[in-house]
Formats: sequence, C-alpha cells, structure tokens
Amino acid sequence: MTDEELIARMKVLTADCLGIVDASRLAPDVRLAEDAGATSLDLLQLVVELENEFGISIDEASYETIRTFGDAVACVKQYVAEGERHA
Amino acid sequence: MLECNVTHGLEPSEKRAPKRDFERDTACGVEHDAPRPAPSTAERDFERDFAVYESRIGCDLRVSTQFNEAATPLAIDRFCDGIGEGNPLFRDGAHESPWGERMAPPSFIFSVFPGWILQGLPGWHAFHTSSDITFHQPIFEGQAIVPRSVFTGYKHFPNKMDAGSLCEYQQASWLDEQGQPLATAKLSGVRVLREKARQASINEERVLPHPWKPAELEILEERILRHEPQGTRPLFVEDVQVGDSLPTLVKGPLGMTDIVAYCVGASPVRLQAHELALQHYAQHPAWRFRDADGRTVEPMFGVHYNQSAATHAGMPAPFDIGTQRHCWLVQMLTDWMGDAGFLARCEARYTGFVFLSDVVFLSGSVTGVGIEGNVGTVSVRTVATNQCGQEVMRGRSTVLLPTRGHAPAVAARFHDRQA
Repeated sequence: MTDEELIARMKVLTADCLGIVDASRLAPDVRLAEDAGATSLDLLQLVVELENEFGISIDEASYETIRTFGDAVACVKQYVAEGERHA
Repeated sequence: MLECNVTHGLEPSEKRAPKRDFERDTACGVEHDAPRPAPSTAERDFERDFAVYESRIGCDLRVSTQFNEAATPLAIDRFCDGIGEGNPLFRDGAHESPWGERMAPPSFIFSVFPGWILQGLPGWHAFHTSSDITFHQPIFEGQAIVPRSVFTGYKHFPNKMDAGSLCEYQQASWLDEQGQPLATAKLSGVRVLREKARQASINEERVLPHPWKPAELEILEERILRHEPQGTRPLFVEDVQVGDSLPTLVKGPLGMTDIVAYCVGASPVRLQAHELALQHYAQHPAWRFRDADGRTVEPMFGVHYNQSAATHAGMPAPFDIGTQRHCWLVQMLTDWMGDAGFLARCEARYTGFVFLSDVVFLSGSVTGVGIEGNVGTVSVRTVATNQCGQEVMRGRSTVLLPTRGHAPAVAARFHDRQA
C-alpha cells in the first residue's frame, strides 16, 4: 500500500466516522477535536475503526498523541510499517 | 458471570490496567519510581476487582436481562406499542408485502436483550454510549431468538482529563435456533469511577421540563400525526440521490408513559417487586437507593422515570433509554425505505441526554448510492436533535433498495438464502 493509498483510505474512514461531509478537506493540519468537532468518544471510535481497517493495534501511548489528521496518518503509517516488518 | 473462555474471531482487545493516580508518587509534583507504601485495603480491592474484570475479556457475559424469546404476534404488538410503531408491515398479519408474511421491526432485537450488558466492576458507573448493528436476516413472526454477549475489551480515553474513565467494548449476537446470526452488534459504553461521575453531574442550562406553549404543542402533535411510512409504495434506488434528505420523524414531548410503554414492550432490565426486590438488593446494594420523597426502595434504573432517582444520580430530570432512542431511529429509516427495502446496518452514538418533556427530531441524508444487479445499497448519515437544536444522537446506516421494475428483488435475495 502506497502512502497515497493509505491517506485516501484514512480520509474516507475518518470523514465517515466523524461525520465530515467532504473528506477532501481533511488536510494534515486539521485538528480533529477543535476543527472537526470530535469528542473523546469520537476519537476512541476512530482509533478502533482504524485498527479494524488496517489490522493493527494502536497502544495508548500512541493514540494519546493524536491531535491532527496528520498525527493520525503518521501513527497508522508507523503501525502498518511495523506490521509489514514482522510479517 | 463467566461461562467459558472462548474466542469467536473477535477483534484484538486492549488489556492494560487503567491509569490510577494513587499509583504515582506525586507529592512533589513529579512522577517517578519511588518506593511505594504497601497498598491499602481499598487499593487491594481495586486491584482484585480490576483483575477479575480484565480476565473476562473474550468471555461470554451472562444475559440476565433477556425478555422476549421469540417474535410471537403478541410480543411484536407490545414492542411496537412501546416505540410508537404503527407501520402495517409490522402490525398487520394480512398486510401484503414482498416479504410474504408478517415481520417484526428490526429493532425488535432490543426486546430480546438490549445488547449492552452491565457487568460488575465495583465503584465504576457504566453508560451505554453506542450500538453498531448489522442485520443479517429479517425477523419473521414466530422466529425464536437466542441472545449472546461477549466482552471484547476496553480502552482508555486519549485525554489526561478523562483519567478515571474508560471505554468498554462488547459484541452482541441475536441468533436463530440453528445458531445463525439474525443480527450482530458492536457496542461501547463508558465506565466512570463513581466519585468522578458524581462530581461530573449534568448541569443543563435550559429549563426542564421544557416550557412548551399550547400552540407549539398543537403544531407538534399535528406534525406527528401527519407522518406516514412509505409502506407498500416501493422506494427504488434510482429515486435516491446523494444529498437527499430523509423525512423527519418526531418523537415527544417524551412523557413518563412513553418510558413505561417501552419497558412493557422491551423490558430493558428485569424489575422485581416487594420481597423479591429486597432479596435482590441485599445481594446488589449498589443497584438500589432510598427515594427521598416516598421513602421507598427503588432501583437505580429509576433514573428513566423517577425524579428522585435522577437527582440521586446527578441528573436534572429523568431521561430516555439509549436503545429506546435507537428504536426510533430504526423506525425513521424503515418508514423511509418502505416495505420493499431492508435495513442492513444501523449505527447510533448516543451523544446527548433526552429528558422528559424533550422532543426528538430524527432525520438523515443520503451519502452514497450503489447498484449491484437488481439491488441498490444506500448509505445514510443520521442525526437526532432536540427542540433546542442540540444533537442527541448520530450515526451511519445502510439500506438495501430494489431497482426500478424489480420491487421484490431485496426480499427475494433473503428468500433465496433461506431456501
């Protein structure tokens, strides 16, 4: 999976989970809480859906650092890469 | 209550112990690995209780709240009465539809059991916060339904301010007699330390009960009575476009009888009276409280119909039941899609409280349309708001609709599977 493919899948999933009408507006610097209106529960739901979508298990220390869409992409990329290394 | 240690292809679960401030040496404002004093009795109890809680991950939870065991005609009637469902597809055995026989509303599963199981974790409150249901088969009259629940794990909130709370995950199944799923659901709930929950009592700035004016109520009632389901007129997928709005379903103002009727039709908890109640509370003292007005012993479930119970829980007024609200959402969708459609998925997050006297407006918009053969798949984003415009629920749903000229196509797909 290329970075572009991963980001495209994440945009669709994140928009769907957080109720964002236009997924293309999910730029890396979009703040999920302040700009997209996500609550703590929404952010947890997003983490669970990202785990299911990409077959990864994100630990607490990692998802606590997610503030922006770019943070989420970096987090998922890291876990996907680790999974591929161990495959 | 553990039944067995089995796995069912569930998702990986988080199994870490929660943060507990008392584990840290913060006397000088820093956290470090200073020698800890011997744990107190309370700390040892906490460790033990949490170890038991964690050990249940992956296990079946005992379904002690089962109500209906089958979609009998009377059970369907009572359930429909409890949610205000008047669609002839679900009410009239002689109603003609592509399905060929009487069905129960998809939300009937909540009258078998609510999906969410309140499992023991002493000192922690639990709030059911979401259900993501996949409907695999229609439920026809006479169908026996077997419930199942599995505790799949928990996660901490990604916010230091939320220490002392976590999100719990469960998976529910409603099976036929052969063990095949009629519906499955992923559910989540928030567990909050009781002390924290009391501190965080809900302070609504608006006036409760809502000060409705007679003219407003007249308009509302007229609007409610004017609403009609799509019914026998097939809604074809070609008639649906991205951006379309679904007709709004209005429920309320929520009255105490609405809550009682839901309890009669779906019985989300098992309520007992007199000596049986006292015996039950002797074993579970945290599930009761003493009514400040009548001095009677009441269940904590009374938060849904008893002002004293609501006040005791830090709430300004009694409030609705999460699955009850989910049933209204299912009704809004089935009213829109008509008899020829099938509700395949219905996710809802309960994002706000609905108090007695509130009105809920349930609506949706189409976000995706696809066609495969004679069956279309329509994605819908749903939202429910109260009379003040505050969101109380939102979610995502998927509906199957026939293509034009093939009204029975969706029903035929399920009949082919059953053949």
